[in-house]
Amino acid sequence: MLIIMISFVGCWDQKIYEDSGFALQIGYESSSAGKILMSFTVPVVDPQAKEPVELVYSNANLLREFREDAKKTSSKLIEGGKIQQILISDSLAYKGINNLLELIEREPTDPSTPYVVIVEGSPKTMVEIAKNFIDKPPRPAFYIHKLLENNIKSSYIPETRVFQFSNAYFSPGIDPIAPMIKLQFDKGKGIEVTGSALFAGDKMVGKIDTKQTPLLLAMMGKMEKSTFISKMVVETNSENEKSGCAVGLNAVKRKISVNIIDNIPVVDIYLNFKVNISEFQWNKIYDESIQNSIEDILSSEMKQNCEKVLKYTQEVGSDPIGIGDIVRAKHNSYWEKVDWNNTYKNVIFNIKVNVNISNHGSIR
Amino acid sequence: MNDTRQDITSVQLMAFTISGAIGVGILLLPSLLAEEVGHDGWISSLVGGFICLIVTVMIMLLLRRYINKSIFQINILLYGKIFGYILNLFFIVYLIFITGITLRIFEEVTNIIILKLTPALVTTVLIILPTIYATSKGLKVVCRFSVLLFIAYFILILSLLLAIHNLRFTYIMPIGKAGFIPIIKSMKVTIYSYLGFELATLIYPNVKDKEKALKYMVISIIFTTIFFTIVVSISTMLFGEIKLSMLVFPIYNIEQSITVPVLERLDTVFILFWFPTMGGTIRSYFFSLYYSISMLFNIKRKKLLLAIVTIIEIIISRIPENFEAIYRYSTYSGILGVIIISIIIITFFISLFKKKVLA
Repeated sequence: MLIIMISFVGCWDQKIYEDSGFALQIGYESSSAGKILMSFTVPVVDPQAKEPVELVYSNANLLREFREDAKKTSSKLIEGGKIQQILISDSLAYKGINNLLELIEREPTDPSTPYVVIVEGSPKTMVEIAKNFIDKPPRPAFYIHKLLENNIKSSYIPETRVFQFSNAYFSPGIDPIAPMIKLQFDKGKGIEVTGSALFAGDKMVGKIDTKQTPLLLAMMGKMEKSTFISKMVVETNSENEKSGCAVGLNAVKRKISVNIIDNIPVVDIYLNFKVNISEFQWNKIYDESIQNSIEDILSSEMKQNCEKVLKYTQEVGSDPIGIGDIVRAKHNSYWEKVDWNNTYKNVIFNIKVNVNISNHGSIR
Repeated sequence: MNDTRQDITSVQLMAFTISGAIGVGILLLPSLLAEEVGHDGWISSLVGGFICLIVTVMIMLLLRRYINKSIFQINILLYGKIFGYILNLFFIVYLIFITGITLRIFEEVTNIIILKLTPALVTTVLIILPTIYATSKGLKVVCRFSVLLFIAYFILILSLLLAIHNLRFTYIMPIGKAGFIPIIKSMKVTIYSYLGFELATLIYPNVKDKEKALKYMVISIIFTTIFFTIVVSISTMLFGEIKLSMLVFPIYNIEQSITVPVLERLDTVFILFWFPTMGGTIRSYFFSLYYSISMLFNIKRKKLLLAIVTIIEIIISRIPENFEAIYRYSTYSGILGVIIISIIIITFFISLFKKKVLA
């Protein structure tokens, strides 16, 4: 009996690989009649199939409810162990999204590492159109995943996985942020990464673009390498439209301190960028004095941009850096007295940016 | 039974007691502590470890006073035949209970994470089979396996390092916010996780190099304390106290949050190396129970005893009605463990007034 029992281990939980359809991404968007329009994309591996992706969608109130619905049309048993990203429409994101991610965290077989992505528009429509892109990877889920990964490495968008979103949501004094994408046709058809969505709690309250996101990530201490395009460092005597200066942000060191002065939090943020000139002018010798003036202009420009981003976060009431969390940790008695949602708007930020140009490529 | 099959070294004693503590205890500890003391769980873990260290030293000093005697023999020597026998029976009742609850926790982990539909009885039998086999081969085999588990502990710590870039140090601040009394009250949670060192009182006579036993038992507690504190700290710094208190197996959630090239998910690897560790915990308790019953009642029919103990443990493991009830029963185990340890401490102090037995 024992041998029989051992031989049949796993039979109850048997899942035949060929019968399983691994949902690669989930889409959530607002729908009518008090439900959410949910969609899965599942890869089709049958060589005779004409399309490489199966898109299944339905209106439901729970993801499980939708999965059970999906079983009624899909040829595969939908499994969630390979979900790459969760696409949520911006209109739904304004209403709160943490409970949409609950199943991913509750289900032990689903990893909590899918990206949380806000879509400007409808995720379902995006996938329907993306399925027909002939110059992109045939499966939209992999295309979007690679797009997100590459832009995360360039710090144009934050890396926000499900567990990171819920960690920030549940922790007082810090708000999550998430990448934003949209369909676009005016730069060659494709899906464009547009920046970051700012949240207050789990409700989307604002957005910043891909120029502002690297600076915000630098202030959060999460910036990897990126490129900064300066419009203030201008090329002189140019009759064609080329102007500005591009610098590669290779590394950044952040120092942040929060003090309470006259009952108001004062935040000092010091950013020290190590950069290299990657595109500039080429009509005169570049020397140390030019380098110093470029560094000064860049420092000033980046400081102004940082201040604009922080002012915007205060206006919309989102605290992605986690100033509230730092106040809670280091000035707990003050934290207990105030309502941080109101106090954050009055925080005084002192930003200091220092730029060091390490090299300027192969020409001077 | 052949004597050499029960002979172990001090290092193996250390591994045996560590495997009795780490394995199952670490699974629930971070979230239970987050519920009790918020982000100060690591302080509770350190304090619990310190208390266990002092108790372990007392236990070892007691055992050193009665060379080649286990706690059962010491109890009879100090308390007399009847009362000593009652205390020994109580120890066995404790072992029966804690082994069953630990077995149930392992079965529930398997049920929740991997085998949802497989009947609990089948999972329980499969979990206990290697334990029965190792136990039948003797203490030396059980301890050698426990030594191998150090590889799993090392792999876990390495994998936790991969989560470092997601940690926020501010999540464990302000330090000591929970307050002194709640941290002390949280000992009821911590103690269950640290239980395992009391098993040394049963197998001490089998240690061949007894002069090193105290040193290695101290190392075992320090190792367990550091290990638990690291895991609790990293869990708190990764998830924050509010989310951490809502997680069932935080260490599994940590592994789920790590992505690596090629494998993509580390939680499947975690299952691979952590399940043997949990099996090690069951093995330590199961062997201790089997060995103590065979010693106390002088059982000759070992195989029959093994079968009876297995059936009893499977029955005990089915006592908690559902997963939520397990939290309550593990608290009961902790309370029983504290009582056992308190009795051993009292025994130690009584022994100070009695003559040493050197041979």
